[in-house]
Amino acid sequence: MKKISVRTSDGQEFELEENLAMESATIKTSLDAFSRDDIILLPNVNSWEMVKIIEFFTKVQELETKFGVKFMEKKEGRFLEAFQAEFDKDLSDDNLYCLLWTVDYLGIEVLLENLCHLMAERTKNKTVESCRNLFGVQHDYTPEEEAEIREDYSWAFEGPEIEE
Amino acid sequence: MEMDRISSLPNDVTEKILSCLPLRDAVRTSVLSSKWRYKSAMLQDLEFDECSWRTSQYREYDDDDYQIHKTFVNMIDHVLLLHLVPIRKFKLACTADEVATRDIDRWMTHLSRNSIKELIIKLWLDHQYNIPFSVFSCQGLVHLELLDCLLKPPSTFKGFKSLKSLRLLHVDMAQDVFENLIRCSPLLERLTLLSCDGVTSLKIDAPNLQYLHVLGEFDVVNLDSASSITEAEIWMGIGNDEIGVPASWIPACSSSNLLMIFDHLPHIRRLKINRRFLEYLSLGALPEKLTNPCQHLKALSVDICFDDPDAIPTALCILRSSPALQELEIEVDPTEKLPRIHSIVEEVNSPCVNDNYNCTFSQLRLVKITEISGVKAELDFIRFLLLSSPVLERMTVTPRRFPEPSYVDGVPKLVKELLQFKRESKHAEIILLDP
Repeated sequence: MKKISVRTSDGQEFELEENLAMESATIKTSLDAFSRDDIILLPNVNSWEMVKIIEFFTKVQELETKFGVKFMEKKEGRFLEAFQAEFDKDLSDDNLYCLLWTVDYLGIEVLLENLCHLMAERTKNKTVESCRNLFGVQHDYTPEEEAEIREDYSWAFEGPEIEE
Repeated sequence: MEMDRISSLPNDVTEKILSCLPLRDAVRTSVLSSKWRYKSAMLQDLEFDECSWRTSQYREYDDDDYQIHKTFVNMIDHVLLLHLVPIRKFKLACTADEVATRDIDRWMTHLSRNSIKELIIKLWLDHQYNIPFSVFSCQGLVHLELLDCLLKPPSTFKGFKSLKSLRLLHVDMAQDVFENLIRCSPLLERLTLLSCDGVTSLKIDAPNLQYLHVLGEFDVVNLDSASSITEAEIWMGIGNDEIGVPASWIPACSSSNLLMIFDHLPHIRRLKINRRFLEYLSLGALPEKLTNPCQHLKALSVDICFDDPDAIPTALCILRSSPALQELEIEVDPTEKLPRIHSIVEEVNSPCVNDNYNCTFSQLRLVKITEISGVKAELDFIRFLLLSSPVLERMTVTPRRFPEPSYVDGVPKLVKELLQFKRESKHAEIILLDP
């Protein structure tokens, strides 16, 4: 299997299996335009992110063998849970954002879906304030504006709020 | 650390994240910051599921029914009213407590004006919901799924021109309504039809159909105009007051149900059939082999009653005509054979009704046999499979949970016998599973 070389923003080089590299729409476009022997430069990708991406595909292969399911083709519920449990552990909130950006830039559809799921899990059942803290969102509503929104969607704001 | 990093994620990413959340949580993000104000109002796919709604509302189950009704309806009305983009997918799953018919009618009218593409309605009401005329005007529909509804389109209805996938469960409709719906939806690729009263004749006119899954009591099965089918699951039942093979099942003189069906499935790759459908197929003059072999059939799952003398020859006919078969699954079904009370056709006893089956399954790798009791006919068949499968990798055998009293100690004996059978494939593994 041919290997594709990439260089991340901090100068590190990685050799990717061709089929793994082709999962990235961005890399694929570069390969189509240029020779496969050239190193592909990825100035928007950090080396730790590339490590994580390679780790993802390795874990996918492990779980595929274990469950006998082709992850890319089917989205079995059991498989997704197993995957998320393993991948979620070492990713801090900050790292998750960075990875979301990078994976979106690289156009790796299947990994992006999973990261979005992970992010969604982390926001579930949180209070508005703790969500703001989690995302680092700047609160820019006046009290009147906020009250208006809560009124507009009153059904969503009724009921007990969970305190972290 | 950059503040507010997530708000500046590309829209398609934030939409993906929001779509993974229950609607209530997604809507609450509108209050995070001004950048988030309208994100939830731009979701293209909306799901209103009573279960997820209840959980996210943290409501006690014994709340006043009327209050629950009011709030659920209220929520959907609000979301639809404040939504900023056309809705691509709308799913409604609820019980009688939550909605009244007029509420659903109102939402359907709204959606029909907004080029909806996927509509899923699953209801558990006291009575079947009559699908309003507005739904039939949704010409942009690509996927339609209905549970427990009544389908009575207007006379002006000319089918769904863009429909690719249709799933109907417990949907009442007249035979001609069904045939018309299928015939006039030319792009249809996937059809699921389970327990739909009113459809007595499974006559499908769908040249682009690839996937078929049906369950029902059918008088006749006619796939003449559905020759692109690659995957099919056919579960045929019989009415409670039927005492034997229905007259409608019996084919005309010198023809065979088996040939009539398989002549029109040249592209079939995966097939699953139940006991009664195998019985249906066995009616008529049974050939040794199909006229047109199933060149692409990779996986076959069939329920066989080993007491029925027609079951094995019928199954063998299919097996002999499937040179590409890799996976075979057999479930032993002891249901008694239907008596022939309308004997019109003289059935020719085919030459294959003997023990010398004589064929090779050159691609067969995996075999799964479930619900066996350990009777001679079953063991003979297993022995035959082992001798005829040179590339067999694994055979899994699962005995019945509650075997006949005479076979109660059959399992240890079974194990011994199976392991002693001669195998053509040197690498074949036989695994006996717990029932």
